[in-house]
Amino acid sequence: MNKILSKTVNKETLMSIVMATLLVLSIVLTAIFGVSYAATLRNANTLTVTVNQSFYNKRLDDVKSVCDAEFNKQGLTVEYSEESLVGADGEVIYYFASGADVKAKVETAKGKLAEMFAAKTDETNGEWKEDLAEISVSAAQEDMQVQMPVWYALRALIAVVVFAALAFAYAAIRHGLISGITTGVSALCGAFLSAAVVLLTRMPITNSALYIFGISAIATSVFAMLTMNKLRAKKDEQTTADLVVESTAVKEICTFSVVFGVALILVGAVATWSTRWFAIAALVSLVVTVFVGLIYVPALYWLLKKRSDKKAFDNAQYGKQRAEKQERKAAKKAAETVVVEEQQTDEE
Amino acid sequence: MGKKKSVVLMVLLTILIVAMSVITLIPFPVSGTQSFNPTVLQYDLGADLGGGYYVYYYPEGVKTETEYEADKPTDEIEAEKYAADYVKNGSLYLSKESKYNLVNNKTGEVDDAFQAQFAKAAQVIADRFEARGYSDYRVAVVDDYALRIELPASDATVNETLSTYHYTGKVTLTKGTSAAATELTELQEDGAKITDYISGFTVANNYKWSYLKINLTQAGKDLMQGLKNELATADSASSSSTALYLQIGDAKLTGIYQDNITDNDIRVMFVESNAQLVKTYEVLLNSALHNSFEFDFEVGQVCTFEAVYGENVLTLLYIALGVAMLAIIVLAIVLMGGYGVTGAYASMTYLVVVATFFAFITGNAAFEITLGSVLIFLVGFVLMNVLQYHIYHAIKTEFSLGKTVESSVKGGYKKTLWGIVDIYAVALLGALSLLIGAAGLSTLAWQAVICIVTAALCNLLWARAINYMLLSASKNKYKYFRFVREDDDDE
Repeated sequence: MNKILSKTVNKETLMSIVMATLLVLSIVLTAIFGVSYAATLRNANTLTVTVNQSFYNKRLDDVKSVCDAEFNKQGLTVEYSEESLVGADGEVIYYFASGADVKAKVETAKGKLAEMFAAKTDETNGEWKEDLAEISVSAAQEDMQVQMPVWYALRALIAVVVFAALAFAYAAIRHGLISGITTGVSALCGAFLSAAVVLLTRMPITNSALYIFGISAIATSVFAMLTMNKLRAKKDEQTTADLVVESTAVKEICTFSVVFGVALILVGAVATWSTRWFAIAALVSLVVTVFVGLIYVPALYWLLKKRSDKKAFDNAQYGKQRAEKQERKAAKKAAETVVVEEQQTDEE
Repeated sequence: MGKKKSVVLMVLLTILIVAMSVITLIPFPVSGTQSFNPTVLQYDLGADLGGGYYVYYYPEGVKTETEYEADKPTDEIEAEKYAADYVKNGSLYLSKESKYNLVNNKTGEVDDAFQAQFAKAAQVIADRFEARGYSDYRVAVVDDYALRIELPASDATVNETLSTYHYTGKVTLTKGTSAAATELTELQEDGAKITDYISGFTVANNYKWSYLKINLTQAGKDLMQGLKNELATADSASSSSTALYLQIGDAKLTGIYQDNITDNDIRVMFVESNAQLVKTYEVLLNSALHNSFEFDFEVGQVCTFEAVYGENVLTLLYIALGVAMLAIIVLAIVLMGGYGVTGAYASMTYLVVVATFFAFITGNAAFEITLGSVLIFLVGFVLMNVLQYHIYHAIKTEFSLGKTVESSVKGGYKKTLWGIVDIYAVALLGALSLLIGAAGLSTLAWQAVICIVTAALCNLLWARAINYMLLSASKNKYKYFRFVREDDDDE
């Protein structure tokens, strides 16, 4: 790892350009194509099957099997479904993608299902006549009135910026200005880069994506602080690129990311579809956080330190030169004074 | 600490942690049909984990396909006449009756004015749910002329919210008995507006109760002082008492009695007046105050739905979390030996404390558990264990310098103390900053504060105390830490 860090520690400018490019690309892509929302926040075509309570309780699975078979025939993909039983009726609502072609297929499926259920519930010959089933089918289109309110995202953005300022202040007081800037900037990079990558990859997101970006800001600054602590312990040594690389909290960051990553993979593998996408987004954010904490933070710190040291050196050099110049001036003046005095003495 | 004392303390502590863990995690039968619900089954869950409620709002004169088919006459001729009385739009049937003004009878198309009014009503209602600040909610227009609203299961005021948020019409004050109240004469004057007297509505708190504060303008204060003595007191209120009624259109929301009126405002409490309920009315009334128009909706039955992607999502998530946590604890014991056992105690304490706080902190808002809560719980848990490893590494480094085990432990803790404080301080600043976020992010911020503070206390104090006791009780301090003494090497 140290070999990789030794190479990347001098590449801060390149990394900053890449990160800024990703951010700009994500903004442009989102502005053109919009946010890729999860199914629950998208417009949809729906098909509702209403079933009387007794049949709902006894044989809902049979109803659903008939529906699933018809959807397969029509080439329809169910994005998700909701089941509800209230009062005398229960209903199953199936959600499909929006669009005219899907709508046409849903209407066809509705017609076929209505015929099939009518045949199955026929009082004379129906397969389900003994169970007194009453089933109706309807198709509709749902258009979202609001998806993610803009002010949710805006306030999340303000929260991240405020946190970056507070992290900067804390780290600056504890470890110095350069550490403060590094910690503050790392918080911003963690949150914004995570958001950029999630938006660029067009992962389906809900409001819970904001949680991931907020936590990413915190995690990145924690990683930065781990490194700043180690650098502070070596503050009496001269800061070099190698020292910065050695002080990077590689073990701690890698341990955290491996353990957390495995836990996320477990959650994503065992749990169902919606939590899976959330776990994937969190995993992507984890990779970004580790990149910023492990690779970008030491590079940024080293760049700032170099510039600060150079400035201090230049100021010292300027001070030295100025002192020398003043000395030469004073010596010249003294010499001129001596010459003038000698001339005066000669004249006398 | 003596060995015997340490052993006794550790046994007691172990029994306590095991007991708390069982109460937190394991459901078990109590008697017959009753069973004990552990803490983890008592959460207010967001829609992604716990499902929620939904309802339809239909404009008056609009029928669903199911209702239309149910009301359809069997006679063919009557059925034709029946069909001619409606315009079909998707799964909705709009009545052509002139009293509803839905259809332009000249063109046979949906009336433009109705379309515009519906669009406005849909926007106002959507804005109300947005202002209410749910972490997860859904407002959708169904086939152009109906609304479908979904709210998370954590909303304890769902009935009030869904049954009132369709109210349109102007905010007004009426005076009289509950059966016969008329609008105040001051509000009936030409050009009079309610905003001349009421500037807005806010939620205020009085100890553990919340109440709705009706903010008055100067004219409103004067009006209320003039009316106050005509009203009955709340204690003596009956169906024949004179009271003021706050209404939206024809719908009475609450009565106002003499004791509700102060010099500057009106203060109204509701039955079970918690902050969520009062917030519901605050948003509704502020919306109606500034958006006054007439549009009548009929409300369908409130239905429940399971977690969107399956009723087992919570169980599966708990299993996944359990496996992950167990793996981390086992890994810690494998890597760090006895010190890993310290980590195990700290981990179980973290689990019990955080799970309990998540369940029983409700305060004035639903402490909604969402996927974000799971994430921040995991972050705190992993961070705590990683820092335990960091401390172990520092102790090991001290030991490699030739110090005794006790000195190494002391030195290791000393060297890592401020670093760990820094990390938790920055994390806590992050959690507090997230309070600026809206809705679910604000709730997540409080959950993050709980996780971070608990993890910090576990790392800095609790694990240290447990380590002290375990170390005192251990037979071989080197084996405890899995250290190798130099003389062992020589052997």
